[in-house]
Amino acid sequence: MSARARIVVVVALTAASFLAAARAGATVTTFDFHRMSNLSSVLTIYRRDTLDGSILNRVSYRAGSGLNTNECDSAQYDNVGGWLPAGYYSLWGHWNNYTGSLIQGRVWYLQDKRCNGGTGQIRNDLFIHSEEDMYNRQLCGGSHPYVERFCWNGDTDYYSVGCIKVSAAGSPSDLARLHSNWDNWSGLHGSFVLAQRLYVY
Amino acid sequence: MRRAPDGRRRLRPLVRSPRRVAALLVLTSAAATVLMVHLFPAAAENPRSGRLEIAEGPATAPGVYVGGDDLTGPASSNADLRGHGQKLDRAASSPLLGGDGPVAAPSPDGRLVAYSTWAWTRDVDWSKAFGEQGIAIGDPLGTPTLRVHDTHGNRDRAPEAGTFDAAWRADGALAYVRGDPVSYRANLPYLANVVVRASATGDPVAWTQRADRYRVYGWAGDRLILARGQESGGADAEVLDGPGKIRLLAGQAGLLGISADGRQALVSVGAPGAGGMTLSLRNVADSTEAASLALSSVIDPVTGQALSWIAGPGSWTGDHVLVSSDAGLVVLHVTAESVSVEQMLHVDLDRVTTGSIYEPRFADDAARTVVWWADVPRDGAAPASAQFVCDRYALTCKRGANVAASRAPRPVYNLSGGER
Repeated sequence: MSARARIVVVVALTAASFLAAARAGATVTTFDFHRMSNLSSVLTIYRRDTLDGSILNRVSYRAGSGLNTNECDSAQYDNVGGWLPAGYYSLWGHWNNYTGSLIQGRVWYLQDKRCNGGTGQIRNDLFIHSEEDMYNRQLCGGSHPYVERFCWNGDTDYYSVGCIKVSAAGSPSDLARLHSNWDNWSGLHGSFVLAQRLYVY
Repeated sequence: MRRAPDGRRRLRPLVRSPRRVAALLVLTSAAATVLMVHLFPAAAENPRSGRLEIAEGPATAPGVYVGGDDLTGPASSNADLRGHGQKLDRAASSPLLGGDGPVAAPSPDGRLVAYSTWAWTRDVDWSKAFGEQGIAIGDPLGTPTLRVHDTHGNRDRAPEAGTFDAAWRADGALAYVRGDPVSYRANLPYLANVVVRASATGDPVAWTQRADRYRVYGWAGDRLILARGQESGGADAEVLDGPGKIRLLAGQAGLLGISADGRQALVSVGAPGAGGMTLSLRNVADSTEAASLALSSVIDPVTGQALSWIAGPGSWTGDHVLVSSDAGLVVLHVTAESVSVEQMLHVDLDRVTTGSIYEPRFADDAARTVVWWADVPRDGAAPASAQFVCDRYALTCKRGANVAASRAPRPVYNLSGGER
């Protein structure tokens, strides 16, 4: 192969790789959460074309949020909180092995949100999560100790103090499938700043 | 004894005069009534449970209220507020607290009102994502400041920035939290220390040395009851026996009230998704449990369903504690050794409110008049709130006119109990 031909091949390969990279980066992964009831709402994850917004993939999961439908009810004194406030959210992180005191495992970290059209309380410590330990295990007894907050044992586990919760029951669980969607479409882990990646209504 | 013609014995009337018969009947029924009241006091006095009938219309509730920068109390014991309301220097507002506790608290003599205010350090459109507005984690967004209003002189002052969440002790000492740092920063917890002043003008003394997610609930005698929030939600109830002397009252527990004598606190432990909720009466001196009540045993008389949750802050008057729940309102009968349900006041939360009731209070010493407020369903209109004044014996309420949510008519109250 002549030097000229080599240059042409290199240029072509470089162009192709840039194109592929551009193509790979031309999608965006977003969520929306349709509030219907505390125990049975719908969380949908989308892969969209960045340029025209068209939906390339979409999967919905049953999800729960809050103990009541008052988006301004926080749990800071009484451990009773309402569902997630409406509006757009930034996504500020995703971890596979989060180690919070009450929430562990696979989580997506949401921005704070002031409720009731920006007139009420600032809700914070908001996540999309389930009930599993930091190693993504179910601590439901048997070979593991029983730890209520890390064991998905029924529909009442969809209750939360404000976060969005999906089920960790079954194999694969909704949480595992949601996480797989995220890994395949976005793949981002750790801390990051993604504006407007969750819409709650 | 004479015999009747048919051979049966003729009974001689015990009392021959009709007047005596009437007197005897009156005496007998009076005695029976007295006996019943003594034998079954609860049955004789307890109001019935049922649905609260809510009608539109103005009602003047006893007590002091704050809505925005208006401080009012036309039917209060504060003579300075009975004639006309007063303007506060700033609007009462506490976005970090919401309806979870008093935005304004009266001093023991009622003259001073400690109220929370808020100043934004930048504009935030809360319908949009932070990232869209260039807001990063840790950006300062606002600062709370506790102010003290003197209703007698109609004067107002702010002791220090970064403060809110006031509770007065019986001797006039004032406790609150002071942020470290003072600003609320995007997506960072508002960490604070607990500070006590011997009086509104006394020097601040830190009762905690390391800032945490502390919130002051109220005094129990000379001890302070706190909520300490946990990362990712929920809180522990704790006791400060003095500066630096902190201990657990109840783990993962919601605070509902402090008894009038300050000896006990009512908390809720557990959650609907975690085996159910239980009310627990704790002795403040040693955190032991004096009584408990499983919420699964409490039934909404209208739906026939067991309650899922009970929320605070409650209102504790005598042996009665008023709390909100998923059924509406619950009046508990609480003694030093027992917790039981006295009355259920059903409210259709989804129709009347946006999902829950805020700050229900007994407005009179008889624990008959009940005042609460709620954000109301808005159907696309601007956020609005309304006040409700109820007679729990008649099961009726008056619902006030809608006001802007930022001017919700909120009760001015102190959650503390006990003497020093």
